[in-house]
Amino acid sequence: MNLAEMKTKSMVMLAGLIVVINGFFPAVWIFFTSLKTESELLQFPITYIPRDPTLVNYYQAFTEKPLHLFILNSIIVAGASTLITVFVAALAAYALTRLKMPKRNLLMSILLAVSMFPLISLIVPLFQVMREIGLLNNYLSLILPYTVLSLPVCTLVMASFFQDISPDLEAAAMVDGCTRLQALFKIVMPLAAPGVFTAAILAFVNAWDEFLLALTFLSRESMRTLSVGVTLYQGEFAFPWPLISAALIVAIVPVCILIAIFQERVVGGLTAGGVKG
Amino acid sequence: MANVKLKQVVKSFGETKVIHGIDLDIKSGEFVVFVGPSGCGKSTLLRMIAGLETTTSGDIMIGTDRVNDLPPRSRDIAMVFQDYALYPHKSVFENMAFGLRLRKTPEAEIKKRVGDAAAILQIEHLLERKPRQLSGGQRQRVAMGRAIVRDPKAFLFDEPLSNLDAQLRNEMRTEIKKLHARLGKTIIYVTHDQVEAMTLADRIAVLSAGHVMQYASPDEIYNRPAAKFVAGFTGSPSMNFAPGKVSADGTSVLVAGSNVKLGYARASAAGSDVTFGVRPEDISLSGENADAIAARVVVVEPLGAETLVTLAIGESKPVEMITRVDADTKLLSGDQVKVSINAAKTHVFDLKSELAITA
Repeated sequence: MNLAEMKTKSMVMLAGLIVVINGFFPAVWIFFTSLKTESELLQFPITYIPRDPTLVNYYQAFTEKPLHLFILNSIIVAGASTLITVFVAALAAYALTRLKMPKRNLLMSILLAVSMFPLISLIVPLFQVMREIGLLNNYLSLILPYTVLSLPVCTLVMASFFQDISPDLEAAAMVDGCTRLQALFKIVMPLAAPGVFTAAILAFVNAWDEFLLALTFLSRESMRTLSVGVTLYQGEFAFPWPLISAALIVAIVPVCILIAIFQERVVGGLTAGGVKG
Repeated sequence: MANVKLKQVVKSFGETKVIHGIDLDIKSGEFVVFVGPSGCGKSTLLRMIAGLETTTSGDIMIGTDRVNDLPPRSRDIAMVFQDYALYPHKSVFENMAFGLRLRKTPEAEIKKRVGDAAAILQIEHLLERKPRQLSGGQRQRVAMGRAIVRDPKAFLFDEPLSNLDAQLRNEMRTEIKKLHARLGKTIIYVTHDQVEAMTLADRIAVLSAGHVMQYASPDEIYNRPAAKFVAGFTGSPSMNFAPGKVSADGTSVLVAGSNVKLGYARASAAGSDVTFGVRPEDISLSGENADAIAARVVVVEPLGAETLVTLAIGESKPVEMITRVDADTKLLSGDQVKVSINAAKTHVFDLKSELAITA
């Protein structure tokens, strides 16, 4: 390895390190805070690693507010919108990549443009619509907009994966006895698994983290989702950081587990050997 | 088993017509090869029979059914693709069983049929493997196995050997011929390789620019080509062509200043300018016989079993033609020789329409 190569390599590694620290530091800090008592938190000089780690904040997080309900609500809303998004995005991506449709590129560009719409500009009209059709304080008031908001990106992600799959595989499946939809779900989707999981994770995390719509459309406490529920721990004058941190960790963990499980599936190479090459 | 009939089949992509009213009658159990250069429409025609492309107009019949409006799965055909199209996430067994599972075939029956097909194709030891663990030849066998297990009315092959190396291609060609003899099923096979077409087919349909130029047995295609295109497409090296003028009585053609006798008179073309054609093997080096034509050796290409010799034939404005000679015949570039042309194997084509003149 010559000097130039070593320089490039160390620069790349440094950049990677910065990204990792930047991403992990807040989470690690929150985790440590969740294990501290309020008095330890306010001590000076500050302790980085908890001196007397305690789980009492986690216990209080569940007893002071219905954290289990927040979790359940988030799972329902994020889960349902992810399922619908993946299903509809798969069909849309398939149509965009396989059917001979006029102005295909224009449609793709519009999809991209739509995905860049700022959420804040939608909130007032959406609120009015939800109120009109009586969906306020109903899971659907979040499931529907989350689905719509995630669809463009998920469609584009899946379309890019579908494009790499030989159309002959579907032709073979259709000659073998599949309908076009069966070919999509039995052959194309399993082969595009990395794309499907990537889209699913994107949709799930978007829905799980979303705050603005959740705060506006589900106002009843038992209907709150985690992202909003976590903010309910602060009092008018008090800011119980360890308690809030514990609730935050509870909110982060399911997403981390989900990504850890599916990360293995989000690898390429699955299509090797099916066609020539 | 079923016959396949195409009646005035047309395919257009938007304004562009790619298949121009094709009529073909493929008998039950027949091995028919569609051959032609890239872009002639042969694969499109095959995909139309499979139902993977819509038919703009005309009728496609499989057996007694008009199948134009039926999806591929309802046409009871099996297809082998150029790039194999094996399902990468399924084992060889599951690849072969896929079609049967979709048809809700009982598990025992699936096992038996896959086992039988695997035995025929000698891939029993590969059943548990994934496609990526197979060589090109093995993948092609699996693709054929997937077609066989379904026991369909007809098999469609879309250039199945073009991704294999030369030696494997020859082996698989023989395998396919054996398979046809064994199964006796109707096979429609697309290739751009005229050797495959000649060796495999009962009948060949030679396509050019969306038209069937000739539909006949390999022997007929080779020895009595209906058009200059067909004559030029078959044989390796292909037929020699030269401009000529038919004599007033139609029995000979003036080629490069020399008179070449025809096997029979072309009275309809008497006195006209034509394209004269003769295959390399029908030009022979001869002694001093009366009809011999003077020629000069231009290039000598020894192939081992035989030698290809490019000759400049004729006295005034010589034309180059290729002939095959014995490997033992020693010739050098620049040698002066005499050649004679087998009159019975001469061909005459119209200058404009390029169709064979046969009377």
